[in-house]
Amino acid sequence: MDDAAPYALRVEGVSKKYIIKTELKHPKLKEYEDRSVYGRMAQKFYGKLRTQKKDFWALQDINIDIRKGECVGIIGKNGAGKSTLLKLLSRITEPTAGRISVWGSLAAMLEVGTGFNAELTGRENVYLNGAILGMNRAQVDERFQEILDFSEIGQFIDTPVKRYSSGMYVRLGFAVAATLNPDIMIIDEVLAVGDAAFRKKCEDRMERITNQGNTVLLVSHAMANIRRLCSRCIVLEHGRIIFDGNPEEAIRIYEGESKVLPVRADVSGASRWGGLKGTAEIRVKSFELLGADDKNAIPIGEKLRVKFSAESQVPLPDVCFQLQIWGQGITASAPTAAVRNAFPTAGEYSYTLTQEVESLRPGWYELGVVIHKTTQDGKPGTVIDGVRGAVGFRILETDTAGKVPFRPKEWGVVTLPAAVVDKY
Amino acid sequence: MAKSKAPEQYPQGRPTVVIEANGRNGQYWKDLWNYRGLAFLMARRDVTVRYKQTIIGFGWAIITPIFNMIIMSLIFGTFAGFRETSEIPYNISVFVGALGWGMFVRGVNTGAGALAGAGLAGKVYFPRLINPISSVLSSLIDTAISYLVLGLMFVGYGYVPPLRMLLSFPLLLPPVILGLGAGFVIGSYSIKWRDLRSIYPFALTLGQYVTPVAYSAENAANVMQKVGEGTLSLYQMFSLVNPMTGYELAYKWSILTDVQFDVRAFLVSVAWTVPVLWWGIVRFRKAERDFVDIV
Repeated sequence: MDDAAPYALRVEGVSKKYIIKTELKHPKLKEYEDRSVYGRMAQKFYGKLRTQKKDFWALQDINIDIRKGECVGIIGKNGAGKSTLLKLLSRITEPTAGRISVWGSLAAMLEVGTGFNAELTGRENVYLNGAILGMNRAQVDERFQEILDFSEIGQFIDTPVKRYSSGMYVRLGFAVAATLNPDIMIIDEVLAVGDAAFRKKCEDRMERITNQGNTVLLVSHAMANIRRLCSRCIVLEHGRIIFDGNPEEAIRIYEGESKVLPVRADVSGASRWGGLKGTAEIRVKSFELLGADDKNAIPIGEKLRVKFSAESQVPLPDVCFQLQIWGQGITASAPTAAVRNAFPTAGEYSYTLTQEVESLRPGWYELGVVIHKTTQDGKPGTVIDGVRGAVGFRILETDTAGKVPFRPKEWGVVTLPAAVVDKY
Repeated sequence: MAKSKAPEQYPQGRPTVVIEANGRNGQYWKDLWNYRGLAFLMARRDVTVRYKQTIIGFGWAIITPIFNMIIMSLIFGTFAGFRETSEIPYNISVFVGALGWGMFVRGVNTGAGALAGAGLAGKVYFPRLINPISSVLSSLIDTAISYLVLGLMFVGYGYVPPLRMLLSFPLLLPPVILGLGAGFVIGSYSIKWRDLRSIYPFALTLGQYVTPVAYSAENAANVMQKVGEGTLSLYQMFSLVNPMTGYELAYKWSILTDVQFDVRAFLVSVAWTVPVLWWGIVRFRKAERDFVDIV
């Protein structure tokens, strides 16, 4: 987006705290754990008295700058804080900390047909809904025909909406909001309703709104809509922004179920992979991704380089290292690499592993390392330690110029090297 | 209450809206004005829905005040013996008195109920004061119907109201405002102390008997004197501070020729209204802020 475009919305250091009350077990309850009548009464009594207030941060330190004309998607799992963010932006509730500045008029569609009353006719509801969204009577009058056309309600406009089909209801609700034309429009999930034709119409309208220089914020679980409408996408997780940028990338992060893992991690205390306890002989202590940028991305065309250090208690001259990769629904392992004289004495040694990863499809991956003992005949034997998932990396989309972009749904998960074509 | 903002830091000028923690929303009152159309539409919705759903529709608005009048007339006029003290038909006195008092009750109920249900509050922003305002507006239709009944009674009893009856319309407003203020306070505290919800209707019923709704000041003096001097002075002491006495008397004065306008009582009522309304709005604003998060 044009960096010179003026701001439409600035969210600066915004946090939102909710207080959850939980009943706490009174320490006295221990004395009454028996099942006698008296004990049960005591449990009721003390149980009721002690409630604990716990803070729950629905959003933490959110910073977003949105410029005029941007269409920004917001995605995240349930409970990630999307709805809370929209509620803050639309002034339904206040932030606990931070500041939100808005330039221009803002309208929020957090649900279709807000305030519709079943007893009222379509026409009456249009005026009421318009007023709720901040339009005055003259403005609704002016747009009434447009609303009528868009909703395709036709002659039913003077019928009470309780007799409408759910599709009609939704169409009318969307039509009112769609003609609203505010400077900034906030939409939550509403595109997921109606039949295919109407949905298409809504999307076209959304696109037109964006093209007219209005700013749109779209919260959705429908990735197709995010792809189609958004120029930028924010991924929320546990109340924090974990990604802000290219929609494709955002969707991959969201769909890949991937955590954003650090570039380096201390794993000496980490639990061992797959229930493997590890042995007393050796322990992997730390893990580091070399040559990645601060967003864990491996530069295009580069190899994956991992540095790890392990401390052995006994001399372990012959071991095998193995790199394992998890992500995008697959597990990929490199052949084991036998190393001679790896741990000649007890103590800490560091190694790097370099791995070709060209065949991995773009996205998030977790890294793991397994150490085997080498058997007499030079083959990998018992696993003596292994760690997984402490460090993650990202494969970027390669330059797609002149190529068809990788289509994971149809093409699978591994890119094979280019086929060699010969005349037969 | 606009907070002084940091010096201009954006090229396109000041933001239209700034949302901050514990924000003193300086434009609340401006918003309230901008959303006035919503108040009217919501009132219309309430009225339409109410009369669409009931069988006799507007009939209820006529039946309720008439029944109310008959009951009060029986209690005060027949049993307490207030009937024969004036030229004006007692039924008219009682009806007018109940109308004025009813405005106060309506205010209290609306105010107390305004914070009870979230409804739209969790879906879209608008100043929440719109809710009680629209409720009061929608109840005006009942008042209009009551006036219709009153007119019929005038004809039936051959009573000619004084010209100052025109003043009775603006005089309906102060008791509503006082009631709203009190209702907001009750409503906001009853979130925490739910018992209040059961207590305040009793207080309202009691108030109806200690305020000159169905009797005049002279009636009261007579009765109290029979009971004893102590009771009379107790009643008079209460009358001095009763916030509704002034409004009730003023309203009755505007329609009934045998009632005197009590300036002192009216000023007492005004003196109550200002702080009560202020307190009520402060409580309401505070409650509406956390409201969505709790419900």
